Amino acid sequence: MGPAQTIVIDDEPHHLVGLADTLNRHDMPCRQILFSGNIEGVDAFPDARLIFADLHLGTGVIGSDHRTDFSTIGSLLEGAIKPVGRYGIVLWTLYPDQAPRLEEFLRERLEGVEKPVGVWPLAKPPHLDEDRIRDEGNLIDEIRRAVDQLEVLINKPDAAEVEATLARLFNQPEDGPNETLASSVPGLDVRLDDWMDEDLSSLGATPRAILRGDDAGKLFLLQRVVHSIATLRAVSHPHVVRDIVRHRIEDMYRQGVSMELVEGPDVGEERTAPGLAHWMDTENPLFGHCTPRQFFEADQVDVMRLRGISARLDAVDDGAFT
Amino acid sequence: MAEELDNDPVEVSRPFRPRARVLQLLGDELIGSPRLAVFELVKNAYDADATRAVVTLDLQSDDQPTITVEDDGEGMTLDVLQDVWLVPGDDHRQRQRARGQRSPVHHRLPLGEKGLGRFAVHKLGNQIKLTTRAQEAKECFVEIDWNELIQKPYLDEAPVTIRTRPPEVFADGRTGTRIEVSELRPPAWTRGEVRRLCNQITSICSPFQERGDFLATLQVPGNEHWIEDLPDFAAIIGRSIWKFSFLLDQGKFDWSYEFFGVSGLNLDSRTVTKDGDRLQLPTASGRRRRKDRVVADETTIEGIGPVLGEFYVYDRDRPVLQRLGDTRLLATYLDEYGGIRVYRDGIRVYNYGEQGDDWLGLDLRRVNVPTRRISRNIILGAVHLSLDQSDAMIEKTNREGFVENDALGRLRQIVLGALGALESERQTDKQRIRRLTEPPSDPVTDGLETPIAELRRELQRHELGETLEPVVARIQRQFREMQETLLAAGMSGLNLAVVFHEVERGVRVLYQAIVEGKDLEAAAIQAQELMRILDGFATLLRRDSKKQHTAQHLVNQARTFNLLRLRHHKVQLECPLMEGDGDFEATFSLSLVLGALNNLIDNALYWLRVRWPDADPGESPLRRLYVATTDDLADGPAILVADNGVGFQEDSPADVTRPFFTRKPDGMGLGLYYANLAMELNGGRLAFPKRQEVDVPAVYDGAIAALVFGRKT
Repeated sequence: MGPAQTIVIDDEPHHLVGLADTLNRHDMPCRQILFSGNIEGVDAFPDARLIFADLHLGTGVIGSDHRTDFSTIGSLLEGAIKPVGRYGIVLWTLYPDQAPRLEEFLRERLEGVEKPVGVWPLAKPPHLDEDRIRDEGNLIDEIRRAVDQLEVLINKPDAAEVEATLARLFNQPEDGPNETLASSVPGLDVRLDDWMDEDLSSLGATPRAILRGDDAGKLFLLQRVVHSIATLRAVSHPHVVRDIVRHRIEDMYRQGVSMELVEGPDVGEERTAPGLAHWMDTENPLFGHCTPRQFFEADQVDVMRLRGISARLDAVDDGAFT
Repeated sequence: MAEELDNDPVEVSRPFRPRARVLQLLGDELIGSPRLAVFELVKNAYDADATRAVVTLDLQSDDQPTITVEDDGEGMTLDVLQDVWLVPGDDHRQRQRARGQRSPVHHRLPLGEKGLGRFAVHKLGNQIKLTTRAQEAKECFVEIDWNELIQKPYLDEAPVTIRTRPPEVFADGRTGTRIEVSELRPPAWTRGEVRRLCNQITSICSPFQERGDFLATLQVPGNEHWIEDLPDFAAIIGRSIWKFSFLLDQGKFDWSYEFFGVSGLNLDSRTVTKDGDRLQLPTASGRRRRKDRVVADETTIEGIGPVLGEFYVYDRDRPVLQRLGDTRLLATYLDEYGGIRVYRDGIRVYNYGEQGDDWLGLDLRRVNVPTRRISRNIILGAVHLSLDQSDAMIEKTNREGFVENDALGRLRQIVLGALGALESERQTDKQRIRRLTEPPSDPVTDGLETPIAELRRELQRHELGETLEPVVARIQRQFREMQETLLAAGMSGLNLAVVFHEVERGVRVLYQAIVEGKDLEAAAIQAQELMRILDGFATLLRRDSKKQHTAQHLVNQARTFNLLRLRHHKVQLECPLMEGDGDFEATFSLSLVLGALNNLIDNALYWLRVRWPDADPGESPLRRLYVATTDDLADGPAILVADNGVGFQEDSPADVTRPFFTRKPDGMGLGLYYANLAMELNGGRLAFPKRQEVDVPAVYDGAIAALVFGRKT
């Protein structure tokens, strides 16, 4: 199982374990926190991308307007979890209609940590049969439906696409590996087949095994490695890397990442083809004051700029601009 | 050749040409009911500066029943008829109102503004005869056959003929307008409809205030007996048990509460009056929530103007109702006419206070605390607005209330806030009544099965089963588990019976709301809140084991829980305990006592905001909270929570810890009750020490509460 990007916090053990087990079994490795009222006992988890939180974490305040409960979740974020980068909250609760108010509360009052990109309701009652999860498939489907930014927050790359990118990076007969780069980048001067079977220490598995397996976390890391290789190969395979960069940008767009992060205009929340076309046809300093489309379709590739853009995309992936 | 034609520029200027049937759309289809149509015509009489408007419903002839509306107003000249009455959408009334131009005799501002009200007449019938006469002018007569008129293709092909003549109807120098409608739609008016029309006409002018300069009446020649025995409004309000009147102006809330007592019960009447009080506002609902204030200020009435209100409240619990006499009449009247109406310059704004219109959501807000909250069928009330100061309250074209905007949202908050003030006072007297009338019962052993089964049946019938079943199932399960725990553990001393009873009543109210097809979305939210009450108390019974903790650890947890709220509301927290001053150890269930402390802080936060309203940006309100320990109380060490809020005022410790007692408009009245129970379960108590009993800095001049831990034995 790959690195967890998800936390589940609940004060009811059955509800906690039920949800956490379901997530773990469906490619969303998660950390579980059984909250007993002791905020100091909760460890920091800056990499958290999706936080499933029960609304009532045992504050004991009844008959009021839930604000002590909102405040408790806020204190957990500020004083314990301290998320860094983009993250969202799924309000796993008996009171799903409180999600908009929690979002408003956190946007208004959180200080010193990032604010969540969204708070989505997930009602407990339809998924709990007594204290057990009624149907894991339904629960996961509902999470996917409810959290419209799930793919952005919990990246799960497409294995076939990663494999195709690798093939294009390695299999360019007309260009041999650049010697300078080959000396500094492991795997750059080997054939794809050999590289695929190398046990990469940073991943703890061979790329082939990762591509054939179902570990989303490792696949995510492999994709990052491939992108790094692409950045370095910009000199030796400029056209290929330029295509990869274009593909990455279009993918970012589809996933709802703000296009302001790669300069140029943002395209609003509606992810439509004309929105992307507008961005592609708007002059952009990151692309050397031509439009992205002109950059991608020019006969000659500006390699230095391509490497800059590629590095920028890596930084966006790392959450440096969120 | 064709290309040349295509490229030829064309410019055509033509006016809109409405179809004749547009008049039908403006009248028949825009106005919701014949009764509203009559109201529109009566409103025109008011605008014509009339002293009276008489509506005559002549049903004596089966072939030719008629409705006539006649007033003694200023009437219309031929010019006015041509230039105003025959011009749909004419804005002369609106301009008069904007200029502040009042009528010559009664100095009224016009109610009409859209120039469409007269088309309501089409809702009533197809044949119209209009006779009108202004001072020093000939009488004008117009006859309209709507059927014939709307058959014409275009409005400009459907001329209306006006004839002038020497006065026939308005002879002897009289002026006014008379509209006779025949070929009625609907053709038959039943006794019940006529009675409702009569009540509606008489309620056009506020019966809550002294009779003014305008009176609308209904005559039913040949069928006078249909309306003879209609209950007299003055007599009905004379039988109320409570009266509450208020004025909100310039941020000041003046109010008067009267409890008249109940005949046959040995209870003193009680009156409370306050001037310059603060109006506590409930949380605004929906997307129109504006800045989250808990008390009204000068800006709350912007575009609404001063709000004057009067509520008469009844008690329909059987032991009380039967002492009021003529029970059936009163109950029927309240069922039909209960609610809170709106009047503007003394003239009613529909549909507020009508049977199908629960504009304040009164019925559903009862689900959580049915005993305290006032539903529509126990109140006759009115709020009065001034036309020239309520410019943000815009009436809908279909005459069914105001346009939903921020001002209407604030008006709702104001009226619900005033109602909350009444409910707060009323709970004291309600409690006194209950002590004398309610037989002892033990709801701990009573079941929830029957009301839940009834509720389930209704949910299925309304296809709400899938949505609400999980909530209902949880309510049922929690209720059952709590009963079992209480009975098995011999914890009946916890006095949770009142909570059980209230939940059971709440389920019944919810059932009733769903039977009546009320706002089902709101019903779902209320069902969840009901579940929350049980969830809250279930934690009491599922408490974690008692361990030894320090007071400092407990207070630090509570401080962390509430950090965002304290910071946001700029509350200065003084907590010597954080420096280690006065720390002590005690054995208790952390979660329960933390809950108790959180409830005290939650309360303090609210009342600090009431006394020190939100300041302008850059300024800090003087809100202070003090959490410390004391060993000054005889029965053990305690954590003190003091503030500089409004304090407990005249309420006794027994009052404030009684379940469902609260003075917060949105509150359920369970926080201090819970805190008390939580401490009792840990061998302690919730106390309210007097200032001289404990050492609290003088600046904390509001409430003082103490979580007292029993001494170790």
